[in-house]
Amino acid sequence: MPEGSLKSKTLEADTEDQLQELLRNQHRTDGLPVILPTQARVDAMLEIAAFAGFEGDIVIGQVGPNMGFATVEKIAINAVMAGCQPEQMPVVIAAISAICDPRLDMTEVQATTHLLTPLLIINGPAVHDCGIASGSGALGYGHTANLCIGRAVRLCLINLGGTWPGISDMSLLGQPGMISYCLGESEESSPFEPLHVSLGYPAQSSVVTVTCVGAPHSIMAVMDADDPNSANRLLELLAITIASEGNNSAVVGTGTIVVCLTPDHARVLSEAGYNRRRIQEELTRRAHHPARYVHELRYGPNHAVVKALKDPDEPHYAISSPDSVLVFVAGGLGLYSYVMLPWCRGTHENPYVSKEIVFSDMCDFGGPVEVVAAH
Amino acid sequence: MVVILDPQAEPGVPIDAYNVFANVRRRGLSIALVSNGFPDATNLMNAVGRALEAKLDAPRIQLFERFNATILADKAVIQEISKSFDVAVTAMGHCGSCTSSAVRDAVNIARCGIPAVALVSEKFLAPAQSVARSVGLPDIPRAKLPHPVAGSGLVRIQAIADSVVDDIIAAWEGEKCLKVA
Repeated sequence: MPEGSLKSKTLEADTEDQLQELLRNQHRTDGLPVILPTQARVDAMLEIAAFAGFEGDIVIGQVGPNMGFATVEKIAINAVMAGCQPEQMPVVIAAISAICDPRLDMTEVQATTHLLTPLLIINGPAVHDCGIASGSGALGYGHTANLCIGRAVRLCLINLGGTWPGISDMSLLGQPGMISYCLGESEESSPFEPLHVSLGYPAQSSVVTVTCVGAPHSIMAVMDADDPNSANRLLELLAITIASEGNNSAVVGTGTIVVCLTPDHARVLSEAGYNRRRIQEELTRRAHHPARYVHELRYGPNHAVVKALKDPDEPHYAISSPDSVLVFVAGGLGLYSYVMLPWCRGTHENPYVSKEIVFSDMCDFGGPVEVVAAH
Repeated sequence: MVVILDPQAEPGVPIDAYNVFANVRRRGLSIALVSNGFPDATNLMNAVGRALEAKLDAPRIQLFERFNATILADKAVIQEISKSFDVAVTAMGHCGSCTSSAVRDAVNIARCGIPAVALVSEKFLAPAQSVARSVGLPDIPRAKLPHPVAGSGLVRIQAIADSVVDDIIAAWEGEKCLKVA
């Protein structure tokens, strides 16, 4: 990248501390200190992007609600601030490509009082190549790549999408995943084919799958080799949690249901004959409650929906179709699996979007992430 | 001197001026009330309709109701309003996404040349302004509601409607300054 070719305006101050304060006061950070995006640091990020065919002035998309243009340059600046290494830039570009996909309804997602936020699930060689954690504590602290890549997405949501708590992001409480919510699938400890292969991508490709969900709910299920009902109990617990009446999914019944299985639970399900598809189908069949519980508890007796109930005992399903259940394996060994539940709203009702991560434009498979327009 | 690059992008939609107004004092004014289905939004709209009937000369009022506050009014509804109505009210901005939809409905109607007012809780005026700017019509009229409206009961909702109706009429006529209902 030739010096001076960047299009972004510059910000100047006498000291780094002053710039940190300026960024924080002008809502250009997530509230935490950042790596200052000097031209040299941004150039290093753009160099890797260019290797994948993404020059700095290419527009990946627009980020709602402000519809700011996500140029590769702006993404690089935010990735530097988040602490990303240049080799992680392709992952961030692919994730932002997903964020800009109209199917994710980011304009509505960023406005709602719900606490959903984009979850990034990474598959393929990128997991190892970029140092993305998929095992113990993958969504917690200590895993630099996960934290920085997820944070880069949040910074783009702030700086390109214009979101800020209490001003344009009206989430009543928020959740820690709004700072960073990124992990890999633990393909080596999964008895199932990798998630991205089930979604139709070649095994050797790297893919980011993005969906907007709430915080993880833990499900403890004790597996017992002498209990032939172990797999059934686990599925029932997962289904009950998904259909729990306080969740939007229980009432609205749309959106992406994320099921993150610990490797121990995944193994038991696999040994009982369940593959990913059968798990999706079983959860869809089992996740329901009587309509009167679902609606009366939420709306009260005076609401039109409750008055219109023809059969209050009719099962009300929490999952619209098996395809809307994202099952993957991650986390350490143990008794806990997790579900992350959707808001279910917006025009497209909380689907998931997958984008291939392109590290080099010389690769043989797939194409680059979708490019919307170029300057 | 330390120099860094600005991470922020300008909003992608350019700003347009809001300049659609109407003579609402004539007989038989046709009024579209667009409820986004947030709890009690339709009750508020029905109450607003009654208040407008009491203030104006034999208005023709029609309610357009949907049951998902997180989506925009259907294009066919906007088209019908643009062809058959003189003015419109959208409601209710009472949460994040429903504020977005109420404001954006008003913007979509106003862009068809019909004066429109979005009813927004005083607690959601900041996101309403942000949404209005993001879609390029920052001066789209809004009438402030007290908070909460939803769940406050039908008697209170009628009182709120009665107190905000003058602001709605003023906005249709081109007055910007709206008081808290």
